[in-house]
Amino acid sequence: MIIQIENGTKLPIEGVATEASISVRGDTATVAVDARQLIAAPRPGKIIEMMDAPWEVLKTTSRTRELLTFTCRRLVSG
Amino acid sequence: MTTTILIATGIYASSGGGSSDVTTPSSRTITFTPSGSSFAASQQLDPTDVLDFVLNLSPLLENDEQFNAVSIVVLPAAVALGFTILTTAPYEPEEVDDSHIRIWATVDEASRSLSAWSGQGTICSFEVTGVTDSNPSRTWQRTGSIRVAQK
Repeated sequence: MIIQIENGTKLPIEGVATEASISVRGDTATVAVDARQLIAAPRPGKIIEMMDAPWEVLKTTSRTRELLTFTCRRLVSG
Repeated sequence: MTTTILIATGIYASSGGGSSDVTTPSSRTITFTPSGSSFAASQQLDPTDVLDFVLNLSPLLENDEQFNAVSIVVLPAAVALGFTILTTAPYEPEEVDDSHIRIWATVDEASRSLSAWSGQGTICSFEVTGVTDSNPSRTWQRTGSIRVAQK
């Protein structure tokens, strides 16, 4: 049995001082970031650059003092 | 009249596939079933703990079926809080037997004082995906979780 562990993908995203943890399923991404590094949560509809592509922020799914998670949708150009 | 109470707890010892000699109690065993929506360990993890958990995938298998490959991905919210499944010796994941995997979990040292671990703590989740050796193969994906809280 091959066993593979992945402790998440951490990537830089626009406007955030620290790397975010990102999980992508299809064209939807779940992003988790240290909330202490944010001045304000990305607003729904905001376009952010992530993994060399534009993503539209859909909604904030949770926020605590230390953790913010939100979902994004990859925008298709053209 | 005396009453005898027998308490049996499931424990999993390495069958030789791995290099550890630990046995894992049932309170740190997560059993994944075809139905159901919540697969959690009953024992909590303190953020400073480095503890073993066994993933029991046997209910997902048919007779004589085995898993060829299992991937375990920590979900973003847990990653961001420093929850980690260890990958290096002596805490690398090991195959206890054909349907049980032992993993070791902890929280990164830099994240052990987060308020997320206060009070009830935070549930840290990970996605388990297994592909069987049936022809054609079956793929199962379930989300397991461990609650991390200061004790």
